[in-house]
Amino acid sequence: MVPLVTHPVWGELITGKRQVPPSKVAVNMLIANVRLSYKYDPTETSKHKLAQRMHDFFQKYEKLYQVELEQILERGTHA
Amino acid sequence: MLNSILGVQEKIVAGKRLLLAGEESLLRQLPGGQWIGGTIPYFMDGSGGVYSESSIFVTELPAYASVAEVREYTTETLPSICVDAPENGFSVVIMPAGSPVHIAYAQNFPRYAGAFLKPVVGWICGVNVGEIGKRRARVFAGPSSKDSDQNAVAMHVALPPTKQAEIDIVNVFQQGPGETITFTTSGFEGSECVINGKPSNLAQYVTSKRIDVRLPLTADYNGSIVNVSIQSVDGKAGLVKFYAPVFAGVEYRFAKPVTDYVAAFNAALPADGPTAIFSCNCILNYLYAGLEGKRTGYLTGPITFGEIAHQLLNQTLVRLLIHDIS
Repeated sequence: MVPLVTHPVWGELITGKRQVPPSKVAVNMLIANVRLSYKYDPTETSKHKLAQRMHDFFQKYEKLYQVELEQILERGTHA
Repeated sequence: MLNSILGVQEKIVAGKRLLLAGEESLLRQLPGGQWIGGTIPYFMDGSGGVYSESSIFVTELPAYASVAEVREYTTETLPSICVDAPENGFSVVIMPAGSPVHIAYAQNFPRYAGAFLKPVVGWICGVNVGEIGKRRARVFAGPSSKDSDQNAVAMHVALPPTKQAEIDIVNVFQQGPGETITFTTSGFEGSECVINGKPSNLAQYVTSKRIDVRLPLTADYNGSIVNVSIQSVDGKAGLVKFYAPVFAGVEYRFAKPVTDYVAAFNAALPADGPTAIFSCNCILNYLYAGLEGKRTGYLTGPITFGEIAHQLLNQTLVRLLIHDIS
């Protein structure tokens, strides 16, 4: 089950507070790029847009990246 | 696989959906149809790396995939490439090396609407390396029989709901233990930078450290190593040119040397998982590792002047996988 876009996990991923293990290429690139985008524009508006992007990605690829999502939700560690 | 021009013509006439790579004179002889292509005379075929001016490398799309559209892109229209793609599927894009679309895509893709949500795979096409600067790379669009050395061509491909596309990379390079390099501006050139926290000049650093510039700069994207290859170092001007852009705020380090590329590649290639329906590898790997006559695992495809796995990469093998998700 993909968390709602308002769930704190997305914000933690974007800001880097939640560290996640290396994953599939698309997931890695997306995470790295949203973090870089947030670095360039560390505003709440930006964070909300990036959270939407992460949410939409995992919603679309829920079956393909089920394991990766579980790792993010359950095994992600806080920096 | 490499095909004769006659063989490719027959496939096109039979309605096959094709991704083609070959010499310009060969691609010009092809009839209109469901294909896109780009110039290059280097390939990884089943028997190993090969240079050919008489054969065309053919990637045939599987029967379950349907071509939604073949479209030409300018720098103005390129930002909508993901928006134009079908909801479930993938897009294959080919761009001429050094063209405005190549530069624009490399620098801006992560900010395009739908980036990463819709997989974009492809390559930067090129020419014989001895003819760089004398001849221009070109892309071809089969349905319109148009070609261009300025614009990109993309094939948007739809998949049934039971399948999803995934792009994977195989990179034999790992980050070395050297200094951390960051840039204050993004782009295909680097001069002033910050090395281990100190303002520095990259060209002077490379020269003074005698760094082997066949090794790329590498960045760690959450565990995926993304390469930026060195095109030239001008010590006098203090300028380094790259084959892909560096991005401000990203930490780079030069890669560790690879002593046996083929062995490293075979070790990095996943042993299981679905078969790639498309793959390509970099001209720098082909040249630096001496891949002519050598195989890189079971993967074949065009040799390229840049690889696209969502964003532009260098010195990396890219493969497109299709998963059953039902």
